[in-house]
Amino acid sequence: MAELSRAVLALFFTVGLFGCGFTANDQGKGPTVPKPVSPEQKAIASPDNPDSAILTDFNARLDNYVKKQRALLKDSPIPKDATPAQVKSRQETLAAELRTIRKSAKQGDIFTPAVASLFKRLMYPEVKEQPRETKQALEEEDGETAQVYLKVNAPWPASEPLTTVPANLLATLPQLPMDVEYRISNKRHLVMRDVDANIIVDYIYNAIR
Amino acid sequence: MRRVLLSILLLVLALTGSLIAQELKLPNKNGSVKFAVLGDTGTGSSDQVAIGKQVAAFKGKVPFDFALLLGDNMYGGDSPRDYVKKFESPYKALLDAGVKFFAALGNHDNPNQRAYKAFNMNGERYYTFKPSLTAGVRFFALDSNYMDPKQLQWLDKELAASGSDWKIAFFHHPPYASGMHGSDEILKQQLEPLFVKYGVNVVFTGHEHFYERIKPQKGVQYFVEGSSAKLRKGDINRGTGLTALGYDSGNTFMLVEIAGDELHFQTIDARGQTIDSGVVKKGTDNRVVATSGQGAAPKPTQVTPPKPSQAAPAKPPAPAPSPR
Repeated sequence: MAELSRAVLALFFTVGLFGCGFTANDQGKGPTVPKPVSPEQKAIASPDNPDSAILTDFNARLDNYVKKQRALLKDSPIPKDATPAQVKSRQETLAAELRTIRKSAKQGDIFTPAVASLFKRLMYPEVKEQPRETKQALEEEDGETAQVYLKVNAPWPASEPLTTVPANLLATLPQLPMDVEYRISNKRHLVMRDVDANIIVDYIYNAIR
Repeated sequence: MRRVLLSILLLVLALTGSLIAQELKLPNKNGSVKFAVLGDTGTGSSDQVAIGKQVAAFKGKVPFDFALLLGDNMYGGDSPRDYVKKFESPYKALLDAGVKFFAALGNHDNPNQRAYKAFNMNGERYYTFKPSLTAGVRFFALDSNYMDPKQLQWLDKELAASGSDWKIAFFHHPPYASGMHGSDEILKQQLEPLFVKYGVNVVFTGHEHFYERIKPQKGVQYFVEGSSAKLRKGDINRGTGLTALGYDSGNTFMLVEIAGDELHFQTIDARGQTIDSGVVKKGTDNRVVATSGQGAAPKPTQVTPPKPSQAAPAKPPAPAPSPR
């Protein structure tokens, strides 16, 4: 009788364990703990990413810009062994052409309110967890800070340093094609800059909080 | 008579001084890789011109073929006139002598400089090159303003594929430095694991406007050379514990020679005086095992003056180096 009681107890215990999802085989799979998502993954549109729709929209808007820019560059690309005059001339011509075809461009065309909100959210953990290091990486020489008057299609002034974008922030944001880049003005505004034309494509005020 | 003797004495002293000032400390061996290193150059100022003259003068003693530019190659405007004033004119003698410049981008540089022929960047923001097929040395120029995941992946791939004995990285922002900016901790987090994993031996950076030889860190020798035109006097913080030798009283440039397992360096100021010189030695596992150096800077400006017996302590090689 005692043996039967022990067998019943053991059976109940085993069933209980299965019910809780706790078995030796399951330990490695960790069904109750979701896999950690890396900052890079959060910035990629994928079915698992709840922000996928916003990122897809951002990518489409960016593609649209880059296609236009590349079409202009295709006819007269900057040679790889250019003279300073060629470098400058191509930059200025391209900037003028972009301004013409994007005459009505305005802030938020690429960094829509939803994108801006998402980007702030993506960068925030880095700013929060490494405030000193991030701030240090944003420091410029002799205390000077890039203070650019932000306007779509305006040039990034030659008088202002092209502020370093800390690698930890870059890792949290969607990667950009080589034609455009992120820059930061006043230590807090995120700017998308056309590398070849040296113009401001779009910007987010107070992206770094 | 006394006046004549005094004049002769002064003349002899001046000549001796000038000879000592331009003394070469490098072995100047046949077949070695020789190059100059300049950082934060693009001001067009008289300080840049003075250093340019000294580099050209030493070119007569050490037949180096190329020079590294560590970023901030063009402060302020970058019109064609700026290129002349801030690069072509100060280094005309070197350019005329066929010295090739290989540039990295600084935070004051328009990335469009990558297309400028004389910077030899081949249209890329980051790139790698070998000075000769047989030299066993490969250089990696990085864009530290914009260390995005794409660039890190590229560096990982290129370092893994490089079979060179000496791997030398150069870029603008220093992972280790004792100035107003200090060590760029975020950049360090990104780059140091790759340097250690793949056995990068030496790293040249600028950004801080002084010269600093860092004590070897995890088998890597770092130099800061950001005073080839700009200077931030008295900026080296003596309390960081990083400095093997620092000089923040005058503009400088470096000459480097790689022969076998030794990298010889000499740091020179605008008067041709040697500020620092020494040897970086690497072991069989390709890591820096020791750097010996001897500063010769004027006493009041020298930081942690090393004696030959107190050369920068080498950290023991980390275990499990790259199996390549």
